[in-house]
Amino acid sequence: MSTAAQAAAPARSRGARRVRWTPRRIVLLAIGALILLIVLFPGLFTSDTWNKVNVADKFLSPSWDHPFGTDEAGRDILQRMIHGARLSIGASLAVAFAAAAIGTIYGAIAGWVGGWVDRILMRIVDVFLAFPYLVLAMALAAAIGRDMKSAIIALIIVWWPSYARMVRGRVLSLKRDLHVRAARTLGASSAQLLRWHVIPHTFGEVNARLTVDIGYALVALTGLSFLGLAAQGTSPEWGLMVSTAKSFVLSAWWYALFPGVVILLTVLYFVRVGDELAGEES
Amino acid sequence: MTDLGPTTVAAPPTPSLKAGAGASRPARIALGVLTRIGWLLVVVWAAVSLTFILSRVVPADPARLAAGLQAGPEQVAEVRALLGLDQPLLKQYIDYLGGIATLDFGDSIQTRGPVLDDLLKALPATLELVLVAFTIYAIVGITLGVLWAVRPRGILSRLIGFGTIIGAAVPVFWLGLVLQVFLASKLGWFPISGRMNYNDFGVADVTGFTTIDALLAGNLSAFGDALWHLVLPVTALVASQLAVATRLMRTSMAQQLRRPYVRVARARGSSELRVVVVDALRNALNPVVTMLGMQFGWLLAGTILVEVVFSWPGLGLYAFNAFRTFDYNPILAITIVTTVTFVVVNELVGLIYPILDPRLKEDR
Amino acid sequence: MSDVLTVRNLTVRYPNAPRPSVQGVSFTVPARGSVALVGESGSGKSTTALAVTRLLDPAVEVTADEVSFEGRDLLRMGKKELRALRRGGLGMVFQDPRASWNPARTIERQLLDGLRGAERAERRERLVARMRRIGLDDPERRMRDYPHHFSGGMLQRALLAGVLVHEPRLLIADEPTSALDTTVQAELLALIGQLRTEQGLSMLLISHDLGVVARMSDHVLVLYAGRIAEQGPTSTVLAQPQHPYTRDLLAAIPRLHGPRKVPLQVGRVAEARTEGCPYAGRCRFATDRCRTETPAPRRVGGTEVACHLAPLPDAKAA
Repeated sequence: MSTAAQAAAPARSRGARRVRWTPRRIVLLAIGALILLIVLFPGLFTSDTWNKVNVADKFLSPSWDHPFGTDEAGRDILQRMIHGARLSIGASLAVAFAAAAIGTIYGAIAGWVGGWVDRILMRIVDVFLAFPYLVLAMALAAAIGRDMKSAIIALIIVWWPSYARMVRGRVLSLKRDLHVRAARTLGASSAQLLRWHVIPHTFGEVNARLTVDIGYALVALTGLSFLGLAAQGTSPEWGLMVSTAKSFVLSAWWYALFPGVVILLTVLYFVRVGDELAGEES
Repeated sequence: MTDLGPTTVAAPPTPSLKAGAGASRPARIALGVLTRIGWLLVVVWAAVSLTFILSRVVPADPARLAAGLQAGPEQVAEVRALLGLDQPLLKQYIDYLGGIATLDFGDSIQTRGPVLDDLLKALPATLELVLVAFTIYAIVGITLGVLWAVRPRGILSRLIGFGTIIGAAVPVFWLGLVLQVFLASKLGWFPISGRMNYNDFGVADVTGFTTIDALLAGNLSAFGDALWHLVLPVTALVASQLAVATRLMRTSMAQQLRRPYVRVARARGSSELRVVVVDALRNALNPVVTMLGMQFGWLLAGTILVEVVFSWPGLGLYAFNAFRTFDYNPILAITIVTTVTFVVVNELVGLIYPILDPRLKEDR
Repeated sequence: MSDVLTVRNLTVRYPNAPRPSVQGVSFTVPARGSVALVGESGSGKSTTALAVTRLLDPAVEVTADEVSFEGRDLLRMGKKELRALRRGGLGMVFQDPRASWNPARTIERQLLDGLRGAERAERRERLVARMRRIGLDDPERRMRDYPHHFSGGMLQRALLAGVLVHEPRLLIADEPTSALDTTVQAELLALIGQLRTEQGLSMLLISHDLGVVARMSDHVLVLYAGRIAEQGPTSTVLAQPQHPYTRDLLAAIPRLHGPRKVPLQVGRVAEARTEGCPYAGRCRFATDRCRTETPAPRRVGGTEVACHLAPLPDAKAA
């Protein structure tokens, strides 16, 4: 009994671990809160007429009234981007979380069961990793139906295998860990062991990777949008805005410039937070 | 650390054929090659099947989608017959696989010709772009990484470090547009889009590679124009990926420079340049070569985006038009071509290891 | 010019280190002489050798009143001159033979690195002859092999042969045998001894092995926490140690007959004190004075020793 208690201790101390709040982390957290606010309540930051066509104001270059300028229908680009954040960032979150969840479960099963099951499961992962994944994502998004939903599904399909491989490796080493063996001697079933003693210990690595991947999913998703494979029509999705801007690139430089800068900064933010989490892990 | 996208280093599974260990050397090599080809076929089959299934099963009516929203019932029926969508699913699948095996990818709705012809026409433009970008990517990435590792505290290293932070997050299509707006449109330093025009320079289209054809014709101004057209698309492709190669090269090089043999080489009186370039670099390249193979897959996707930005008449632009018109045969064909290219490139990368590390030579 | 290497008041400090790794170390290596630096890991013996040969990272701070090789200032020497010296008068071998070789290049290429034209051809010829002498069969062919084709002992011999072919006047050997089996170790030591008498070579030997030191050196410096604890003729220091640390070190040698006399006091060099005698924390004889006042070197008996208590009572028995 005492062995089990000791063995279980790392898991508990992990959960209770105090986070050190350096100034950098406070700034990152504040930015995160702002992003969350924009995604959840874009209306707080914009006027009600943000999506109203106003031809008289079309293609105004950046000014105090319109920091990012206006588009071909006279709409304020900054306000449209604030409303597009929900689509672009939301979809990236969906891709990263779903890929991580699927990959974690798949990898945990492969690593835990081992033997021929593991070999077959991992061979399938190898096949997926042998694709040029973004090209495949484009083909899949086109095949499924050229809208936000298909783009998200397509990206999840090409994205989960890397998590499966990572988590499998972790589970293989956890399997030999003392606390797992101790729990097993106490009579825990495989499912219980996986749920309570194995998968939670992979979260550290997965979370760090996932956070960075939110950023890269945003790059991939806006890329699909740019090709007309994700958001459609007059949606304020960021990639689609750049795509639309492409037609007016010679007359309105700001139209393509600012949405890209915002995408770039958002990606940088998630990469930075992911690095911070990875640093905390090691 | 931060590699772009989901692909971690995915070395294709090495065939562990212990049974072949006793066989003669040529027999073992033949067996190895066959296994690799088998692997290639599996990957291609999986890519084709996955796209096929998703394109036929997920949409409620593929023909309806393909014909477009404005199409009337007759047009939908026409498209259905054209794509063979009136056949049972299994038959469609088998027909499709059979077609691919004979390099028949079907017809394109858009160009109304065989997809294979379109592919062959577009391929040289894409290859020219990809190969130039890949070469520059490798050379610049390795050079910057080495400089960074050798003088970690220098001003240049600070600049490189800052550049890789930004570079790792840049969407390639946007970077392309920005280059186009400012360097081509505003400043007029580079052509806005397209490739060298064969007719303008009276150069014969022999290989489909503008640079090579211009050189073959001995036309230097045509060659200059071909290069001029390449500058911006290549810059966009390289810059948006450079951080990955640079960072890995730096880490790997810094690791090697801490190894004792480097100190021994210095103690022996080798020059610093020799220690870095002849001794350490060779060992440091190993992980970078693996990564370059994986990055090639990204480059193929990036090329599609960049071709759209710069109206570069290659596979990417062809794919883009196919996406827009829901022209499915070209999409599948392009998926297959890029997958084959990617797998083959990674196999070729595998051949580089024994050159870098003599210990691997004897195992072959 | 009777001294090959002169070091006066050498101090080495790594960036952000709490105390210098080497502090106020002085010694000379006379022509044909052999000087040994001994101490535990972390005592600064390897750092001393690396500082003298300018092989430390430029960020490490090295100061000295003098470091000279045959009268030439090593610390202010230009890169070119330094390189020429390393290809000629100054030879070095290091601890781990396997790690000392680049796995991706043949041993011939590595040994002749940087030499060109006539110089290269001539040295290659001598290298082949020497390789045969150290026991390498068919050297012409074998020299084109890669390091992984050789045993550790052979790699170290080949490294030594490659150094000696440049006819150095000084050989700096940093734990040259520590990574090898005992028998291979004995062979290599015999080889070094033989080559030394033949070529009239001086040597700076770094070792933690007092047996090797006794056999290979005529003068010894015992280092502790970067300072010289005791120095003198090897035979005297080993027979009549005046510093408690030297005694503990000697007593810690495992013996074939009977138990070790006294186990070395628990503790590590890294925990050495920054004021007073660095050894005070581990010393069995330490007094209050030892903990506050850093002892200056004094001549006691046949050795120079930095200890307030020397001569120790009953210097013979430990």
